[in-house]
Amino acid sequence: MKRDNNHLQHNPDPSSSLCGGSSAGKAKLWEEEAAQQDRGMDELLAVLGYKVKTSDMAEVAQKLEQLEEVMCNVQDDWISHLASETVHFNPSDLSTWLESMLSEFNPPSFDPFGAAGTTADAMVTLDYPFLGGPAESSTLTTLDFENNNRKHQKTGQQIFDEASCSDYDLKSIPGKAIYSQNTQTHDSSSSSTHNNNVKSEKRLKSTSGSHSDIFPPAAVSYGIPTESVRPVVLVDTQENGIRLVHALMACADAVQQNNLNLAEALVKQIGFLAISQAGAMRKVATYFAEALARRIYGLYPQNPLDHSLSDVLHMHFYETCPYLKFAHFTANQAILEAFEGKKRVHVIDFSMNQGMQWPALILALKASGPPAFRLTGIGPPSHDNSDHLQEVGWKLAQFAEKIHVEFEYRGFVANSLADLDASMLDLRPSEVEAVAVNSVFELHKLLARPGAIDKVFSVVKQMKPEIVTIVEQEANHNGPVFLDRFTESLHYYSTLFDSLEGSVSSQDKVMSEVYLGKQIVVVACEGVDRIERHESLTQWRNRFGSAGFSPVHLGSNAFKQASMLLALFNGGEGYGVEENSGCLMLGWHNRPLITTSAWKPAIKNTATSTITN
Amino acid sequence: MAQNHHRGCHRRNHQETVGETEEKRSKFFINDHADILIEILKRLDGRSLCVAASVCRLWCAIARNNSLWENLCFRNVSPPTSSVRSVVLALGGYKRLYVGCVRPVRSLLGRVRRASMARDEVQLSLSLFCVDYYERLGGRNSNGRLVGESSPSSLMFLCKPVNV
Repeated sequence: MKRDNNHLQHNPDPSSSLCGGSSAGKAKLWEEEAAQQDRGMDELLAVLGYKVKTSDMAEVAQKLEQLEEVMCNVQDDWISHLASETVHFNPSDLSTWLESMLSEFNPPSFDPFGAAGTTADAMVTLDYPFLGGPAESSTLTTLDFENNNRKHQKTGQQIFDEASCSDYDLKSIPGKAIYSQNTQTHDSSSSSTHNNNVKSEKRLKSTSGSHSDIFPPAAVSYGIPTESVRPVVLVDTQENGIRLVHALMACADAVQQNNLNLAEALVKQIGFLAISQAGAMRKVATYFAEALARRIYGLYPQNPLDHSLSDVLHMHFYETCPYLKFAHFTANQAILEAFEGKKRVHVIDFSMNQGMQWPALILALKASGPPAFRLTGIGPPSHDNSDHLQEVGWKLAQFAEKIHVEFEYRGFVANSLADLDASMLDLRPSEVEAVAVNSVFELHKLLARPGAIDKVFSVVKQMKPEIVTIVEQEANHNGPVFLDRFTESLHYYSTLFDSLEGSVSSQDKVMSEVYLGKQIVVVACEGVDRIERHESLTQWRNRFGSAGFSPVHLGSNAFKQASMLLALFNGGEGYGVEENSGCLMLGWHNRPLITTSAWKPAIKNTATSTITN
Repeated sequence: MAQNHHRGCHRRNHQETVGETEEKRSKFFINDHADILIEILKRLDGRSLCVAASVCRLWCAIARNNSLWENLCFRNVSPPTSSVRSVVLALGGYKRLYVGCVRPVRSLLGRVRRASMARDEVQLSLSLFCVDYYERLGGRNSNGRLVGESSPSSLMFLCKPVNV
């Protein structure tokens, strides 16, 4: 099956170009040679007249395979063109010869340095099954290719060719991805890893802007500017991973500069590259690609969906990874310590959800009293007719009754926390009842509307709480520049997805990823819709400080409980608790992901703010 | 040699006869003394206790005794307060606590070095236990009718993955 055409003489004879006679046996031999390792200095090939370094054997074999595939799929007239017009190096230097051959198939996109080295990786099949439609205008591209090829001939060396016909050049894009596109190759994304290049510089081709009405081909050939249906696959190499990240950044940059054509092309490439990756990176990239695509096409995600679906996702997220459990346990510990010795306690929960936080607190309160426990739960309106908050309250009441703790519950539906007013909450005087306010992953959503967070702060102060426990994501996703936000959230969610990889149940893992994916997609939005405005601990500290709150240190009990909890997940590998001036941070491999902090309204008459332990 | 052996056998036979007579007089059968059995079983570890529970129906019934499992949970830890006991009994009993929470937590955390850690382990197990109970509670829908129990899986993370 191997074609014997891997061999062109220096002065090409068209008739023999396709059947280099003696190469038949040689092709087989080459394969054998390449397959063996630790042969002597290519002695067998040397006997045949080919100089191949032993160290290059594998590369040479790969390139031969690539060349064969490419030639199998190329158009006939093109082959003859190859035979007659291209310049090749001495074929006995097999490595260089192969490079030059492959570069013929690869539309000239060079780095200025003309790499002699090779990258010994990847096979080249990229499958784009979901792209419909055959390619069109192949003639156009072939022509272009020939043009460029001729240019290439003339200079006789690899140059950086500026195509005039290109609608845009993917020049150096921030992030060290170098794009040198001078041809309209028809496809999107094949990266020329195999030859001519580049150890450190990544290249991507893109569809040309001027052919924007043409859809990308059903399959893309590696480097061939024709419609060739040769399937191409990108292997999950580290290079492809880096390429993927660069493509994401480049696309975000394009979006920021409002260069939507470029962004569109890049988004498609990202889709292809993402498939080549395995595991966490692939999923994160897919979600970010979706977010970018929505931004490009203006399809902003609708407002939160079906309550029952988000409940289910939330539950699975709770079960799979320690983040929510960590949040609940540490917050409970702080509340417990603040409620020490009180007879009646009242917790106002801004993040009611399923109420998973409270059974543990009720149990812990049982040991100290128990005091009468009142819970006010605040949540968003449910889209079906069920009164979700009441159901949760009922379950908690059942639980409290089972263990004989006096329990009272009230649920409040509010679209936004800023709609709340202290008067609605039926607060009792603080001598009678101690109040705690709890918010898990809710406060950052208020930052989308100006003034909302301040209103909430003032309402909280009116409640005169003993303690305010806040759990928030530890990341700065609220900067003014889109690209910065994008980069930050890319790193953040990559880490988060990475930590999910070790989960026990794959169904849970998938659900958690969907749950997080919904947050990612919001990254694409702007303005009021962009509700996932995470801020870092330092920023929250400033906000609380200027709103008149002083920090409460979380004790060592919380730290111990948290460390123990984390040790249960994934064998304790990867997760870690850190203490940061009284706040506890949960991180994955030393990258902090969420932070629990506690606050108390500052007492105005003293000069220094109070810090209770 | 053979002579000695024969004499030994003879002696043994004689002793056996004596023993049998004694037995006929006061037969001690452990199953008649549940409290002694419980004392013995209290000292077993979890696995042995489960094995003991498979011996016969009587032992199975006795092994369901909460104090046995309570002992297991609070081994190396100061005994729980009465409030904890009532809570655990209300939420499903000590056996459930042990099998569902304490045992997996202990095995995941490895051998406990300090007594204080043992207490924290139990504390953590208790918290997880009550979350699990809460999850098992059915809700009530808006009509006031009981909705079925949701499938509790908050303790799934304690299970080690099985290599299939």
